[in-house]
Formats: sequence, structure tokens, C-alpha cells
Amino acid sequence: MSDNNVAVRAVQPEEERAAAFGGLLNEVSLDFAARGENVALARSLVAALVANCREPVWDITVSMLEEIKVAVSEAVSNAIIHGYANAAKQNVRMHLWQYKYAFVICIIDEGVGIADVKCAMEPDFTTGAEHLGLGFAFMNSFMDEVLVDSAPGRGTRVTLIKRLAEPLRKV
Amino acid sequence: MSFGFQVKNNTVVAAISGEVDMNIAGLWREALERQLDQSVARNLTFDFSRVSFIDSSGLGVVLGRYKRVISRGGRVRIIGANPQVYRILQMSGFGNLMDIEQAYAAGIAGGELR
Repeated sequence: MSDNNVAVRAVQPEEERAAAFGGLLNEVSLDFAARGENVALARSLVAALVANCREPVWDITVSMLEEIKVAVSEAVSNAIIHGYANAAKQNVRMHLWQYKYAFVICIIDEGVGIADVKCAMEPDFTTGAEHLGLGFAFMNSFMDEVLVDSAPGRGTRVTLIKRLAEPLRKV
Repeated sequence: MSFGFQVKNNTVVAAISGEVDMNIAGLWREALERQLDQSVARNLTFDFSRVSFIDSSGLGVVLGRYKRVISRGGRVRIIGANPQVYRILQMSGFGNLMDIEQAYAAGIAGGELR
């Protein structure tokens, strides 16, 4: 594997969520080395997709874009810092589905995992002096739903869901 | 993304530009610590007028330096925060710890939002 291994690919639609969220419009996955510079790449990719979604045209505000960027940044940072303990030897996978009524973003690592997910999601939970324990707090406040699937040694999958209401304007 | 320091009126002014996340947090923390070690200035001002993004990694660096400066009787301020950065700072409760000054609207229009 090269030092900074990045691959973007569009993959086949998944049927399950599509019905619940009004149909799948776009799908992208990104596989990247667990390195600090790729955190910006991950959140920028999501922001670019959200900002440019065309069908239908949602009223995507600057605040909403920023909020999604922060949530993605926190999830990817967690994967690198906690999941892989900053080792950068393995990859983080990000998957984004754009449905008619929601964006769903999955951030997946194959790192150490979390023993007590409920505890880790508490606002004050922290593993170090410089880590504020704000990561999950930001994810929870900025997204409509945050799902964490993890177990020790089995990696972590964080699913971020942003629901979209009825379109505010159409072109 | 870059950062730098100026010392004036008993205050270290720490400016940083770009996106303040885990990629820059470690380097910036070390540089801030070195600057605070060297300087006799008591206060610390973060100039965020060129910061376009901050997450909890960046906030961690600010909070760590806040604790250090406050414990030595100094004062910490943040200036030039754009509306999004300002919101993140307020949501994190930093407004209860230090003065946070928003960027002027004219500055924002000419800079971040273009």
C-alpha cells in the first residue's frame, strides 16, 4: 500500500434504505489511509456532494453544510485516533448515500472497537486530556440520527443520518 | 494552512488559518506551548479571522492552552471568529470561559463567503 492510499468509487445502490427515504439518488464510497490529512478530504467530499445535490433541489444552508462537515470530521477523527490509535496502517471507509429525503453517511474502521458504546457517547466521555469528549456530542447535535455499531476487536461503524424535510424550493 | 505568533501588550497573539482539525492540532499545540514557554506575556489571544473550520480536535488545543494561561493569572480571548466557527465555540461552552469576538460582517463578505 502506498503511503497515502485514496480510492473513490461509485458502487451499486442498496435497496433497503432506499424505500424508507424516498429512493436513492446517488452513492459514493471512499477508502482512505487513516491519516490526518484525509479527514479534510472526507468532510470536503461529503460537503461537495451535499452542496451539489440537484434532484430535488433542497434548500441546503451554509449552517447545515458546516454541521455535516463537523459531524463527519468527528467520526473520521475518532476512527483514526481511537480506532487505529493513530497508527495509519489501515484504511477508513466512508460510504455516502443520497436519498430523496435523507443523507446517510457511514464511517467504518477495523480498529480496536468500543467496549461500551453508550458510555462513549456520553458528552463528558474522554480518553485523554486534550480530547474534549465533544465528538459524539457534535455528531448528535448536528445529525438527526447517529448509530454506532462496535465491539472490542471488531472495529466501529458510525452511521450519520441527516433527514431532509419537504423541498423548500424547486427549480 | 499555517499559523504564527506575535507578542504585543503583554499578550501572545496566536493566528491560525484554514481548517483546524486533528491534522494540524498536534503541530499547533507544540508551537503554542513553545511560544508560551518563551514568552513573558501573560495573556493569549487566538486570532481566528482566517479560520474556515474547527472541530473538537482544534477546540482541544484551545482549551488546553486556556487552562495553562488561566492558571498563571492570564486572560484568553478569541477574535475574528466567522459565524460557523463562532457557533461551534458557543455550542462547546467556550463563551462561558473566554471572550469570543465575531468577525465583522464586511470582513466575512470579503473573505470566507466571497
